[in-house]
Amino acid sequence: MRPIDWVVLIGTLVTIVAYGTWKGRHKKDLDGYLLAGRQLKWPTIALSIMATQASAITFLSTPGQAYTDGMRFVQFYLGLPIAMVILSITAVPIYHRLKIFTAYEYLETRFGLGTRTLTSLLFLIQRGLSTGITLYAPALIVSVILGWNIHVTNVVVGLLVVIYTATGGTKAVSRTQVHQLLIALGGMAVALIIAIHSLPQDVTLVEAFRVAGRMGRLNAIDFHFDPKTQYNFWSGLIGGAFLALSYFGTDQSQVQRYLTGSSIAESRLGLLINGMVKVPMQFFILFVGAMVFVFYQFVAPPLFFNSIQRAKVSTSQYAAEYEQLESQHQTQFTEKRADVQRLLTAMRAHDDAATASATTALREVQRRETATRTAAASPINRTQPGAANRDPNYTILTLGRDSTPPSGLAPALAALLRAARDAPPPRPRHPPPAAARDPSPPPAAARSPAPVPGPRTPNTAERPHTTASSASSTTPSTRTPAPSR
Amino acid sequence: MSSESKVNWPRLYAAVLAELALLIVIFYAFTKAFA
Repeated sequence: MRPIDWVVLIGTLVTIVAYGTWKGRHKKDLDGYLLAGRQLKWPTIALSIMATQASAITFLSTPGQAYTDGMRFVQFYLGLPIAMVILSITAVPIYHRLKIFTAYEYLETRFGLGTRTLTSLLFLIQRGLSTGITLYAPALIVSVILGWNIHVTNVVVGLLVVIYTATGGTKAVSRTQVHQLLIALGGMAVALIIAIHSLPQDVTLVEAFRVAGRMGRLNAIDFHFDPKTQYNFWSGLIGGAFLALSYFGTDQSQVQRYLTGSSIAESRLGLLINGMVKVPMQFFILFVGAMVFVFYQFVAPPLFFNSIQRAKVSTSQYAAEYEQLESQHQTQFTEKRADVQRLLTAMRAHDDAATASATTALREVQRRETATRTAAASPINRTQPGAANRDPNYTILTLGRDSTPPSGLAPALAALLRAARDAPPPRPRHPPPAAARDPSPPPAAARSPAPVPGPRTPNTAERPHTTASSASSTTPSTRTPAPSR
Repeated sequence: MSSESKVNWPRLYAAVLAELALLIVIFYAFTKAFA
């Protein structure tokens, strides 16, 4: 880490804790502590509701989900706006009129103390367990970036959160959540700019979309009614609506957010704005993951994104097995890069047959690459049980750690403008490679890497892992050393 | 937009649902355009 990184990290943590503590300094009674004096306005309520759902896990695992499975997860949120409307009509007026502190207090007035106690206990157990996971995610980021022990970072992050939540109450939580959400979304925007800006110079934004689409990563909507499919339109609309009704209507972590409203109208508006903004926000986060996926079609990704686990397995008895898989993965990446180049060339030439052929070849090599990743999970899990399952969470972290934002946003904006200008398929700026002119792909073993233009920023070129290092040897002219951190 | 009397609630509920419908159409077009 460079000194500026430390300044940003420590400055952010100290500012959030200090701001939260300062904002909650005027609380005098239970109403002020638990419900911010019931005086918050709808913008704070809406952002606070969104921030409560969007923990660090959202910003880590959702792009990872898009990377591995595409954008279809966005359908999971389609029922949310419907639930917001239903709750605004039904639950919000009841909670407000009763002047309650918790959703479970209402159950006591309706069904008795036993029901209230049971539901409160269930909430505390469930929330206690999930808070552990929620704390784990930011601790994970710090541990990966700083190389610290995950248990130490868990305790440090947990203590910082406890300081301002315990001293500042709900008002502090709501206010700081708004800032945290904006910082996290800003970070996602920077990740998107890095991923797009680091694409090869002759690849436009529309072409990047097409590559992602052909590889099944822009599959936002699927209308097929299939009970076996985890995410489709119907499961999202129906199941998502019921899930959102239970979460926003009965989970105290959410109910508390809109009970802080100064009136029924403020609480309703907070919920409804959440309903309007949440779906596009999730789409954006998933889209970042899809663009990270495209980025890694041109720059060699590691076989396993978690660098700490990678280092562990490299020094374990499974090192040889992992190394062999890594070498296999590298070969597959070289093939895939050539296929991507073939696909781009075919699309630019409007050659449907060559496009279909390149797409088939690309999907096949992608399938084999996925199989290699699955095989690599075995030595990783034997080194540390369960570690491989969490690897998609490290996708965006790896991009953030191994790349630095372009100096100023001007180059990125220029790239976006250029991409927009180039929206219609442009004429090829370079003659297509020989492999790309041949519509029928040669046997995999006979393929050679197609020439790939250099990335727009040099700092994304050299990866810290062996896979990428070997990748860099295939295109030496495109790779320059990354700045030290 | 901070007072109950100033907000036409049925219209706002309709706006939320209309936005959802519009998003579904946009997402579907997005999926089809790049598939």
